[in-house]
Amino acid sequence: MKKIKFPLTVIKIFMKNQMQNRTYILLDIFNMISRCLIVFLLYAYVFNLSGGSINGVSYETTLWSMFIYFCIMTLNTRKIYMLIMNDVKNGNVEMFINKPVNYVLLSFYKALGQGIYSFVVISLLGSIAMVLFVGIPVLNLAIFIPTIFITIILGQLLGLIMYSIIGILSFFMQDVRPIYWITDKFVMVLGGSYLPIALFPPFMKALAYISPFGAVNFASSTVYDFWNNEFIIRIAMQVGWIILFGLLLVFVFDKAKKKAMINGG
Amino acid sequence: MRNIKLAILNIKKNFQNAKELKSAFITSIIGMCLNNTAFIVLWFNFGAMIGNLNGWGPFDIFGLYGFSTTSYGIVCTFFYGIYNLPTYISSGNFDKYLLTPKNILMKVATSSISTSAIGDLLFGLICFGIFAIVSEFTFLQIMISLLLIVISTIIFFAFSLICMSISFYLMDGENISSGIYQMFLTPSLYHGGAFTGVLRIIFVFIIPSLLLGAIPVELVKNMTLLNLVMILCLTIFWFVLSILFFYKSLKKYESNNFFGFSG
Repeated sequence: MKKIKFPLTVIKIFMKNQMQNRTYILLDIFNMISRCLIVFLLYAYVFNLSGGSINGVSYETTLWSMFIYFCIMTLNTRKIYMLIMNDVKNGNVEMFINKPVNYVLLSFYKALGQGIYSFVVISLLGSIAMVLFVGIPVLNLAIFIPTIFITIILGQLLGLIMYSIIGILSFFMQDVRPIYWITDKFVMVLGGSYLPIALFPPFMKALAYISPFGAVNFASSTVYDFWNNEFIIRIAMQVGWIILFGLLLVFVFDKAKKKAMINGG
Repeated sequence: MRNIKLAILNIKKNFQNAKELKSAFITSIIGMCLNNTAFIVLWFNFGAMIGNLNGWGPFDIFGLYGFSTTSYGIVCTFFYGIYNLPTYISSGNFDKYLLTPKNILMKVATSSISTSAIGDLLFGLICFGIFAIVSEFTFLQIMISLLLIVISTIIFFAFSLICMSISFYLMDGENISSGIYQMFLTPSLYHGGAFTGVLRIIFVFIIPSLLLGAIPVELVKNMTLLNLVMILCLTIFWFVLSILFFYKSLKKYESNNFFGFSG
């Protein structure tokens, strides 16, 4: 019970902090609307040119896929790299390491707490707007509903682990931002942020399928027809990447702790 | 004149500081170039796949990134201090800029540089070079392009300054300033052919994101004096507004007696 209470308390504290200032949520909503409008108008034109569907995928399905991607982005779990990097740079990490809490897990909870409010509000309001203005795509609900939750949770866990590793690299490198930029760009592009997955050329489709960067945002693929045949293998791949990167995180953090003790934080 | 001398001295000192961390200096420049390359590859492939989109061909993407990343690069390389304004205000560090008999804005703007922005600047110039070669620019088009780079740089500086000056009015201005700034920056990274109708009006006149790249590309391809004059008027408007807004906002600043020293 205590093990569940602590993460919930940390998430709650950071979530309440976000809720205090309503300007944050208004900005997130405006950002979401402007991004969606730009890509929706862009792809409306593209799909019109192609007679309403591309590679057998309809315009509505593509919009839902991009909407799911944008919703997940409001969780902003990638911020964890900055939380860790700042703690390393200002020496706070030493204080946290000496406390009887797992520093990496604590950072996970902080990152989640900071984004969860925007994510829930925008996902709910956005879904209603999407149903009203775009319509409901043809889906196998028995597969879609459970798998979207599973892939969001697993994808965000994988993202948290990957971005934490980048943050922890601050112990060894002067500037980890270039690694973050490149990783983040791969995650964004292969997740379908700028170009929808339906329009990916074959090499990008393959890369999104087999790389951990694509696995972070498998949730945006749940609306496509191919998902019904591939969901088991994709979820298994997410679990595999989580185990692999989880082990790498433990290894890197152990090395980092030794470095912190030598240099005094 | 003395203010400009001081600004140059500040920038020089910042470069010397940044160069001390050699590996970080080099990796951030290379990293930013690679980061931007992802956008070019993506939108170029997209353009090649769908062909002409509202008058935009695949190579126009090089022009879009040429103008926008060059202007971003210039502002953030030399005047990154304006992006630190929210932090200076919330931490009380802004006091030190008020306590010296120099131009406050000049001093704040040149108080910091971003090394990664040098990567943006280099990347932008390379993109612009490719765009000019592929589009077979005439001498006049090159001259107009240089003018448009100056214009987009001024717009970038002006709107960024407005976004950051909002922090003077708010308790926790850092997140809000950065949120509004992202709203301004993000549309400038999208394919220029996407902006039509109301969306175009919003991102030209209310949030001038399209003036950073998309409009200069369209203008240099189809030059009309009227459009050029209109862009010049908008630039003057945003620049004057940003300066007035900064000094008006400055009056809202309340010191928290956190003393510090600065050169």
